[in-house]
Amino acid sequence: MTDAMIHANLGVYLDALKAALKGSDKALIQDALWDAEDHLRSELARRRAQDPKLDIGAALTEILAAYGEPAEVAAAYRDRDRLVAAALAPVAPSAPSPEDARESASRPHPSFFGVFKDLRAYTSLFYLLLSLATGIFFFTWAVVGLSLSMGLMVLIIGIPVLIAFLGSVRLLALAEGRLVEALLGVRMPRRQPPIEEEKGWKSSLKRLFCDGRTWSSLLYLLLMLPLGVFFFSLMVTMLSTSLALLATPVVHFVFHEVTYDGWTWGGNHPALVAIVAGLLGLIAVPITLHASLLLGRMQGFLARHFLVRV
Amino acid sequence: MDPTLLDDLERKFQKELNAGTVGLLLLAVLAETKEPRYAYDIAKDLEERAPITKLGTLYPVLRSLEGLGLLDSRVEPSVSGPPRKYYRLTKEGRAALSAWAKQWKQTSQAVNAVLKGVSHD
Repeated sequence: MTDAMIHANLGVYLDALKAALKGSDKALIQDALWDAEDHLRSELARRRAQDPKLDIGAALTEILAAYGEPAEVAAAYRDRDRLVAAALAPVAPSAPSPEDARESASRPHPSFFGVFKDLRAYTSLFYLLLSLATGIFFFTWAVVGLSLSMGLMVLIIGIPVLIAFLGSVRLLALAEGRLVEALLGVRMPRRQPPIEEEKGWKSSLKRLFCDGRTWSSLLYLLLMLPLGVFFFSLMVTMLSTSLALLATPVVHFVFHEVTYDGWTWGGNHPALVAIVAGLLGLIAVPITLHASLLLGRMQGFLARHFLVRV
Repeated sequence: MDPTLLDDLERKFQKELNAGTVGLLLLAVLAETKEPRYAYDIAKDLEERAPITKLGTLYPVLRSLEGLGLLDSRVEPSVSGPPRKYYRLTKEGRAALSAWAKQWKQTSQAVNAVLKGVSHD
């Protein structure tokens, strides 16, 4: 093998390394190529000095294999560079963690019609419709539990009832948090906050009483009734209106069953009314989905503030 | 389990292990001599005594150790071919080496104690 052929062979490897480092800092690429060429040439020279009748082709293959695949070497340079940059930076810029990225606030809002493809819009809608049921349950639970423990306070059993009730509030807060995370995509606590080991009703009562989270959770449970009523009525209204508008042309052109009682102009132009209604429906449905996304985001914000305390 | 996945995991584990140990080994090799050493010589030395990594991944570690101030380098012309890069331990590098070596001893002892009885081939 001639020197020119060796040069060409090394060139192929160096080009591959350069390609693998594409997009990295120029100085880093230069360092990497310099290191590689220096090593490969030195190694070849050493082997040739040891054995003048060396099979250079085979030796080159061996040397390149020992040096490592271009992708592997490139990754090592990049990793190391990041490490040094992180170690030397006075305050490393904090990259958003995957957990944070899951928060709805950091997700880009979908485009007007893109909302159809956003799963979160549908899960939010489901949450908002469900919130009437959960709101009624939470409110009832909170009012019954509070009045029961207050009423029984004159007897001694009021205290264990109150402890059990406040404990249940925190459990419900955790359950609601799971629901919020699953349907609204807002990161919520995954487990109960740690419980101190000390036993006895006095300490547990004190702990439950002194923790602001208990009370904010209770407030949230009570608040869920008006919010649930509001969410449910708004969403049902918007959903039924937009779906009805969207269905009008179908009903008119397919089933010919639209009648306009007391609207003479509409009765005279049923086709026009049907088309306009259909177009309005085409706009109203995504608006509904956007509204559910926004309300879901708002609710997630509320849940984070009432149910999560650090 | 998929055998290629197992291979992948094995490679990844070796890479994770090397992330710390290669730097320690390079510092240790450089601590053996007072004179600056040629980068290629360091790599060859390590290849013979501790063949745990591809040679190409040693050089970025040398550069990063230099970047952290643990090594010093200078480029010298050579009689045959292109100029060569020589590395030398700095005072900080020596301090890091003794601290890291201590950590390594503790870690390896602890790991070996737990691994006692795990069969391997």
